[in-house]
Amino acid sequence: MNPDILISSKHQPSRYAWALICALAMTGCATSRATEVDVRDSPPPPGQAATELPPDPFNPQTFASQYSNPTSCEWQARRYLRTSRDDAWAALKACVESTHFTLLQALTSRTWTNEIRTRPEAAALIAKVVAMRGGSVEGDLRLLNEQRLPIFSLSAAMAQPDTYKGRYVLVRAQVGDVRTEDEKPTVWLVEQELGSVASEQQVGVAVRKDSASNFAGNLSGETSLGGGNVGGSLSKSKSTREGSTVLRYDNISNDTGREALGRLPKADPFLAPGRDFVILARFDGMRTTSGSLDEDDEGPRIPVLSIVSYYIPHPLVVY
Amino acid sequence: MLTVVFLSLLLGAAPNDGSPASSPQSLEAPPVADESPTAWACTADTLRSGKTCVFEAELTASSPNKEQGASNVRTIQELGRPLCAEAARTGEGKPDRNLAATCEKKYAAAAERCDLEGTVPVVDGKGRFALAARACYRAISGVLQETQMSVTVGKAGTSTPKSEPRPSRGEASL
Repeated sequence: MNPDILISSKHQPSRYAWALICALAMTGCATSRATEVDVRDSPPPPGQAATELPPDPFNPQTFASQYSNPTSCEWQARRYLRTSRDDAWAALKACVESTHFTLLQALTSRTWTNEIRTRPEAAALIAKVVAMRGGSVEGDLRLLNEQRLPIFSLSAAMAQPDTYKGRYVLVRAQVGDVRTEDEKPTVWLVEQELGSVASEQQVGVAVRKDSASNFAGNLSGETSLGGGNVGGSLSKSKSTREGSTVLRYDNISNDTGREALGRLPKADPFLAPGRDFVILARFDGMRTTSGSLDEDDEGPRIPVLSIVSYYIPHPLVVY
Repeated sequence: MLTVVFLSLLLGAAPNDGSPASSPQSLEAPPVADESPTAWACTADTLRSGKTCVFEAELTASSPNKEQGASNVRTIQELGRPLCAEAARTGEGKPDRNLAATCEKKYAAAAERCDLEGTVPVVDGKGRFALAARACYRAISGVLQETQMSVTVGKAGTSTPKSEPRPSRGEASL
């Protein structure tokens, strides 16, 4: 037997096998990518047998994991509104959970109005987005109220307790003391406002030049009129500094002077003192405290809140 | 007939667009307030500690009733002895008898204001002071704080070490 022929006949099936594996791999890849991108919009393959397994249920986490950009994620979530509002809402929530979602205007746009107004977790979702935008509660509440979304400030609730009783309030606050009764803790909240402080920061290289010189002299002589002596000294120093600075603004939170009591359903070690939180709560009205010992004075009043959820604000603020 | 069937089919299909039924937690649901007392309610414990508290109790007001008024005063007076004993306690853990007696006397006088005209119990079932009892609470709280202050001042007075006379210039001390 010719060895060359033997070799070529041995290699022939192997080449076919490789070609087949490559073709299968490419087909497989293409199929899986297509299903990940848009499984809902693609029509079912023709002649699909009735005995085949039903398509996998919509998985919001898988959907959101395809998008690192919140704008694309939210835009794609809108597409599901045509087929299923539940899937669209689940997709939107997954976008907020999985991406750095700061698109409050998109969330409160007319597209999502129905969902935002009727879904039980919508208020918490909004609070989370406000926290991700840096927790500028006052500014973001203005955006929400422009869309007639009923989430209000603590100051508004305190000013008109009867009007706001039972309504949602959004507060940026720190936790103070906590007391517990029947395993239900109530925390003392100190409201914070977001401000900024300006400081100059050097940019690039700064050059400083220092020079000092000293001159001294003495002159003596004799003239026909007599002798004389003149002396003196001169010192000179110079210092120059060249550099460029820019104004830098840092976010800081300050006490507003308003305080509140916040009811929690159970003890929560993550709601720790000393740091700011964006807190969504129901306003339960005002209570009179024992603050003043003056019998004629009614005493300071404090708002009572039922905390629904809370979030840590992002250090960078979105305006 | 055909139109009726068509319309009924259309109407039957239309509402099921996946819109969720509004829940009590949704933004368009009516406001919901929790009126129950918090863990910051004013009680005998807050009287004892002098900590800030909130007047809130689960009570219902009724028409003026002499028995209720007398019961209110009695309830507060019963608290007087242990509260005064605690307020008059010195650093050694024993109450100062004179201070405790003075405290009880003043406390009893303050408790007379706790009848609330018999319109409402002074405390609820869990010992939380009613909002109407805030003047009463402040009066007895004032007595207890005054007693505690006397103990502190007295302690400071007795615990001040006698200062040794400083050696004057030229004198030697060993």
